[in-house]
Amino acid sequence: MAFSSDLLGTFITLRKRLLSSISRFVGSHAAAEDLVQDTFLRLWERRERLPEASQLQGYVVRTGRNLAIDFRRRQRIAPFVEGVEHLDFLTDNAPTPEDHLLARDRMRSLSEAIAALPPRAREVFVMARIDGMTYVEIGAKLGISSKTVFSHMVVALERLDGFDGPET
Amino acid sequence: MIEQSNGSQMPGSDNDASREAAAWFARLLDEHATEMDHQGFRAWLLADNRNAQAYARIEKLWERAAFEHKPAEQSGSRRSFLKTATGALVIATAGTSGWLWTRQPDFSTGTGETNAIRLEDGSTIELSAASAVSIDFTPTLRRIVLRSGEAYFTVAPDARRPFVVEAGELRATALGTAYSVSISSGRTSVAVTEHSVRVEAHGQMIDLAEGQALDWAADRFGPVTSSEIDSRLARRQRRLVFLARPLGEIVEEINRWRNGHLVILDPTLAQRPVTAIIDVNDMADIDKTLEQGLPIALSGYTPYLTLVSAKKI
Repeated sequence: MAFSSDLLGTFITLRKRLLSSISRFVGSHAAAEDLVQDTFLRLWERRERLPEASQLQGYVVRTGRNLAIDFRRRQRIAPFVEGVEHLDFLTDNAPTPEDHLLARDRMRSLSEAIAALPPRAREVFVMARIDGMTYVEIGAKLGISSKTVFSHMVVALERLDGFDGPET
Repeated sequence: MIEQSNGSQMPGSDNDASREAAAWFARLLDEHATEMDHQGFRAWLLADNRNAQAYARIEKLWERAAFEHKPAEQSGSRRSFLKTATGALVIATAGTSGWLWTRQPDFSTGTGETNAIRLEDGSTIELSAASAVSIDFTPTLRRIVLRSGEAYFTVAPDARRPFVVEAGELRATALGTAYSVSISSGRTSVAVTEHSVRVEAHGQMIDLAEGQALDWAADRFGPVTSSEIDSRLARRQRRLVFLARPLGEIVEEINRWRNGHLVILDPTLAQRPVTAIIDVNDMADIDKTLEQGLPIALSGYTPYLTLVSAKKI
């Protein structure tokens, strides 16, 4: 378990590199600044659950990268969810409000739900979500077609949907 | 690629919505999703209120899962992401004092303006506000002169052509590395985050290894410190502590944490020593805190640029 002070130091050390990578990835320096800031805030909220110090650097980079990937994906779909009720949060870049209220046991139940997925679906989900890999990359690594990767992803998402019970 | 259920014709169940939402999400996750996919997606969203709800659930789930840990951290994907970032990262701020130039800079920006430049070798320069660089590429050398302001350099590796950034009296040569250089009112700092960097000034030469940092001020090098950034900040935990440090240095540090940039135009003000303890968790109110605690006034210039001036008494 890393201490939150390690997080701060690691983040400062990595900040400029992250900014530069994300800036190129999303094509906007301003958006990258926001994403880097967001990366730290998200990690800070989770400072109780950080990985070991030796893995912290990778974790920070990965989080930043995943946020950048999400940002690009949301930008792609934003025009198509315009004006759709329940999906307004996709068109602004702020983190979803629920996220800030995450209870620890809720996090645990997500981890458990992921662990309980069928092996291939779990592998695909983790590679896409945690490692930020594309279907093509996952397919190449697992020796399956992109279409099969997609099918496993659908299985994973459907199983995980409602992992913490129906929303009230 | 998506198999549509016929749920749009008759009322579907929540399970249908959930399954379809999973399928749409998975489809749009692919960067190769087409315009038609997206339009189909919108039609599906509008067909039933529950569809959007189901989709929103998956979006949130996806977002939460981003912070899951992997049992064993593999470096593969991290590497490939940072690979493009390998190179020199040079940041310089503050004045052009005493520099006389016979030619115009190749690239410059005005206040509140930024510019990203892609160089012929694949390296990039991101110029911050009020900055200027000159570029001098030869078959044997890639030379950049940072004339004023601030710039990010991302260097494409090329062993035959060293990448050298000159900032004031200092030359920092990338040895296939990532490092940062900052200039602020008379003090130039180099901090190395990857591999090593050769720093030269006034005929002196020092190679810095990963995790090392070095200051150049008043015509001499300070001691080489190890992981200074890391340890110094680790001890402070959530606080940034400045004891009688130049305001310019404090502002630079705050800029790492605050959205947008604080800029001090007055060099005298930048050098004024102040003491401040700043909670990095409280960045939302940082502007107010600064104005109350320090002899300064802030004025927003653009959403990303705030000018710092001396408080008028």
